[in-house]
Amino acid sequence: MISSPVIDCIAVNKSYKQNHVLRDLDLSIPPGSVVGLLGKNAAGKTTLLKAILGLIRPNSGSITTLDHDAWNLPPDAKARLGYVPQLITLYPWMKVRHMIDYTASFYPRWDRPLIDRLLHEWELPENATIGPLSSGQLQKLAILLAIGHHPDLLILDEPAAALDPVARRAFLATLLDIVSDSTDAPHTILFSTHITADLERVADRVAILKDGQVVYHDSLDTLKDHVKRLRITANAPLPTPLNLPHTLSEEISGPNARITLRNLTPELLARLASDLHATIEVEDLNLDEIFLEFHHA
Amino acid sequence: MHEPTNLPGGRPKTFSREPIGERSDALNMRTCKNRSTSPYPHILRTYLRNKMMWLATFMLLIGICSLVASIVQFRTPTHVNVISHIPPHLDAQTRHVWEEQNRHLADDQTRHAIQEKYNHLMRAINGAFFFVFLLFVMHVVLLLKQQIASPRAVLVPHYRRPHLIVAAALVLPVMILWPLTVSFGFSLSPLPVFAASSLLFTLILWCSYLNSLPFAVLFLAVWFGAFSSWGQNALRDWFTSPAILAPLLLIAVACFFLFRLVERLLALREEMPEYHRTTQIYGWQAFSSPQFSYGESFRINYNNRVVRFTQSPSRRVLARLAESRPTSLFRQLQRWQLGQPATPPLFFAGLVLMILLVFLLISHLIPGNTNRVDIQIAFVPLFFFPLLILLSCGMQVWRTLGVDSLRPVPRKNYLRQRAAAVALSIAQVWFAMALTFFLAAAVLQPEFLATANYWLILAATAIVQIPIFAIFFWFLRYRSMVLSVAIYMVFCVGLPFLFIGSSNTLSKFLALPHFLLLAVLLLLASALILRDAYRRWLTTDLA
Repeated sequence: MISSPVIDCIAVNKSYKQNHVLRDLDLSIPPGSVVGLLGKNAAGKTTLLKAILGLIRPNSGSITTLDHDAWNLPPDAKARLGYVPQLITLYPWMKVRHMIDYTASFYPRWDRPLIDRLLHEWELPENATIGPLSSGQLQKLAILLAIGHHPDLLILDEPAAALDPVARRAFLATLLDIVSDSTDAPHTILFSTHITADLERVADRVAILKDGQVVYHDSLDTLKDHVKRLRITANAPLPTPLNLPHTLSEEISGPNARITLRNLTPELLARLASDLHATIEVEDLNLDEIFLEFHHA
Repeated sequence: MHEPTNLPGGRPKTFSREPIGERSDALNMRTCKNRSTSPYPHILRTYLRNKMMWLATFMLLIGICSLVASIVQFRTPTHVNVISHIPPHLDAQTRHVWEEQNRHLADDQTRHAIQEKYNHLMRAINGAFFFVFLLFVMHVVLLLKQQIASPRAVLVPHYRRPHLIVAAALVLPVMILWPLTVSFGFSLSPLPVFAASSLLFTLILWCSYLNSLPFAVLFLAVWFGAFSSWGQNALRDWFTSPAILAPLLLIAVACFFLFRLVERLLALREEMPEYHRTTQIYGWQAFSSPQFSYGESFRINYNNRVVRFTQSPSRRVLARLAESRPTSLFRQLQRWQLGQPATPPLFFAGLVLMILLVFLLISHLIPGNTNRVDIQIAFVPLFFFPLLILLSCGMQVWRTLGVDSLRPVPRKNYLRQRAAAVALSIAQVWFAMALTFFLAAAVLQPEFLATANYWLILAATAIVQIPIFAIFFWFLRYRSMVLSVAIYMVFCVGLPFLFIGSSNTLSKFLALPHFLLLAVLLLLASALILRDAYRRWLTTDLA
């Protein structure tokens, strides 16, 4: 049985005055996946996440979240959603336990033992006022509030930016617990981050956003398999440019060249070696490097 | 931009030249020095670009125009001729004696001139005119504080002095020219006027700098005191008094506190308690940006006991939430109220009670004081204090509106309930305050309760809240701080002051048929505005 995507964005456009943030964006996320959303600053990540949640309305296109129009999510769909915003917006005048009680009162299946356990493990002071909490503590609290009702879809906007390495590790472990604890329905996680190491640790899919469009969306392994860097050493100066298909970046200096290709196939590699009469080394790239190559940095 | 690199192995070097942004770098004294330009135009530009300052300056201009118009009206040749025959310095008693002695001589014109002289004077000195002058200097200090209470003030060399000089250049002319204009315009003693205004200006400067509740209460108490007949008589006597030594002493006191303020600003550091009490709305944040969060707009010291007391949510409601989920609409509204920054009615009721106690009770308890404060003065705050909730919500509601909309509640219900929760808060505060005033009147001035005016004014204060709420709700979609403050100033402060200020208008307005007609019209208009606002809110981005 093919299950419908948890998130389905079709030709989504969103602009603020003259600033086109999302341009004909398509993205479909299957249930049970952990998707890392990568993109430079101002690439449109936060806007996309907010549009998926129905917090902002696209100028055109359609967004379906949990089988409903994102702009008009019914209460039962909202009860299956969890969200950690980039800028934590909690009530600074409340104490931590008040904020938890307040949030819990909205959800019928709030897991109080889980939250109590995580409060203790993450060393969050229950009786502290939220206002003076550090940004890391605020982020921990926001994550707790987002997962207390076991959401089927968890959306996190740079959730680990302010966490220390210990807290980040604990947070990632919690994410993995959530995904593995699929007793009733598969849990889907979509999170944006700049920390590619975190993404590599938990995500099984990656979406790269560039200039308001998803330029890549597939499994992380596929991405790593397909994006390769070639170091070419020829006997004679190489032609400039080489005009290879799916080139992400190309630097040619005399007989040497360094080329990153998005979709390297064995056939292409063999043809290249014979055409150029060159030796070619193929390098694997980590996600950080792949991201840089996608953005020609 | 790529630089060619030697292959293989080299990393492309990227060079970028950061443009020196005027917004962020306007205050960078080092940059200014390197360019050999003066920092003053850059600093002045921060005031010119600030929309709150636009609003304050606009209101200041209106205040200046009103003051000038008042003086021109006051100084007609006939008035000047008649006033020249009035003894120059009249305290309440000698004026009364003079009026009695000249009753058979003075014609209607003379009596009218005397009355006019004091009417214009009082309107100029403690009506809305003076308020806008105070508002202007308050804005300047709030912006200055925001500039000084930052790491830049410590790290950037020669930072504070030019900022202080620019602020002083904006504030001092207002502080000096206002008393001079008023004293010469209305033929008053310059020194007493200068002394009183200097003290008030100094008080508002300190209040703005400290940004703390007790000082705000002190200022409001003094301010409302000036509106009472007791305060007006005292001011009138003081402004026409020939005294020299006492005003000079008061001016010295004001100067002392001004210098202390400058000292404090020059030494302001993070460990000082007032450092954290800044209002970032006077900064450079792009409030019109859809991605801007109001969460960044305030820096409040939540370790402060007063702040904790006034903003701590209802323990009773929280305890009930912890036990079970709310089912009735009222309980749901109570829950949304927990998410409002100015929920506890106790805060407002307490504030007003304190103000009342300061000048109302004292005036009744001073032995032999015949100029008691009239209880009617209590209605002025009843007009606009409950609506302060709108202002605070207007500032902070966007902070959590988006995230809260993800709670399992349909969008329509969510919007209705959030608006209804704010309306409920206003109603609660209004009721608490009305009860306070009722009790104060029952104790201090029971005869007032027997007049029809009491009940009509009370009803008017309640009815006025509804259209203002509707208008505010409509405009809140634009998430504009300036718009919120402007609406509050115009509808919540300006109109009631004008309304209360003119007793003739008030008595005409309070004729029952007119009152009822106006009330019905206002309620109808409110319903239409609310309906339209709700429809627009349904299509508004909430984050």
